Amino acid sequence: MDEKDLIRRAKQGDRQAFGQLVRMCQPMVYRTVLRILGNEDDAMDITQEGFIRAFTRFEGFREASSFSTWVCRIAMNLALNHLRDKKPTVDPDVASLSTPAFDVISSRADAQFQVRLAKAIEALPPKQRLTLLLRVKDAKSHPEIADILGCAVGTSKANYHNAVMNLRKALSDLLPSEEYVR
Amino acid sequence: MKHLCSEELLNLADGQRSNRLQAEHLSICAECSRELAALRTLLSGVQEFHEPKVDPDILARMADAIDARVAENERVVALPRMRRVPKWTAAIMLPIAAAALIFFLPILQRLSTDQRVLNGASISLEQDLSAGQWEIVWNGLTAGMDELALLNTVIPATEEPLDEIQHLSMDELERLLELLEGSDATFDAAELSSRRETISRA
Repeated sequence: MDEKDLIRRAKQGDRQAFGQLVRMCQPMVYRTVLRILGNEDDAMDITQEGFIRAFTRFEGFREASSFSTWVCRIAMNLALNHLRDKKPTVDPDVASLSTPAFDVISSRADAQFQVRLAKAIEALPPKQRLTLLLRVKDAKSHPEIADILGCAVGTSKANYHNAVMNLRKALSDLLPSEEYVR
Repeated sequence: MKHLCSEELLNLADGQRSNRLQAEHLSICAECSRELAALRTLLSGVQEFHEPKVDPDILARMADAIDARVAENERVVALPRMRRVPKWTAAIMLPIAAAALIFFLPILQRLSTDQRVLNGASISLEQDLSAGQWEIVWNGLTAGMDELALLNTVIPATEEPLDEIQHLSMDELERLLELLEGSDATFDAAELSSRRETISRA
């Protein structure tokens, strides 16, 4: 049974059909939320809440996008609200890692580089981080990312550009240096 | 020499093919070539960025939890949703509703008071403090001071003078006795009977 059939049945109140839809797109929704929150427990709670919201507002789903994209957007907004409600915490490791440990990287697989990169990715604003990972790791196009994030394609491109430039700046001591400002 | 902007370099690092001008520039500009290499290294690093694997057990547990919560919510969802009232309709209807409420409020208040009396105890005492008088209310009927005097004789809690009872006619007395005997009020039947005889003799 394809997604359209499941959506039709779920809209008629078929709980099993909704359950199948949940199982189909749950990994993508969970991964998206986890990328924003960076915490498995919170990500689980928010993912669940996202699906419950989707269920209670199923009438409002106009099928302009796929079900997974729609739920992803709901869950993503919940995750961003959750982040806003939480007080920001300062990770002492990030501060210590911002000091250059060595001059030039020998390989991109270098462990230190990966550690620094991971910290820099974590430090990105949530929407930039999500856009970057959707684009680079999931190979999503900007129109697809814009659909998931509920924003314009231009915004997705700008978020991506800003994310990469922020990483570039954070890792400038590890990557070949540039002499000019563009 | 005009360097490539960061957007152009990012597009190239992202896999977009360079045009002739860009290719020519990159072949002679070491800075832009270096920057492009840096961005490619960065994006490769992001591609290799380790994300925690999603545990299938976690997903299964979560799916079960969602199923359970969906079942809980089903009844709520099944309820018909209220349609939003258009703004112009609300703008017209609200003043009309307010005027109707002001007009009918006294009637509603009166109705609710009557209902309270009817639904209350079958017999009760109410004191008009301003007049210093008591009156008896029985299923919406109100008796006067004379009848109250009789009531004083049968309900020990009240300490009103009994003189007034002398002015009751026999008909009035009979009506009040019927009224009291048919009610749930607590009174001493023997005393009431003896009082009735006294009045009859008088």
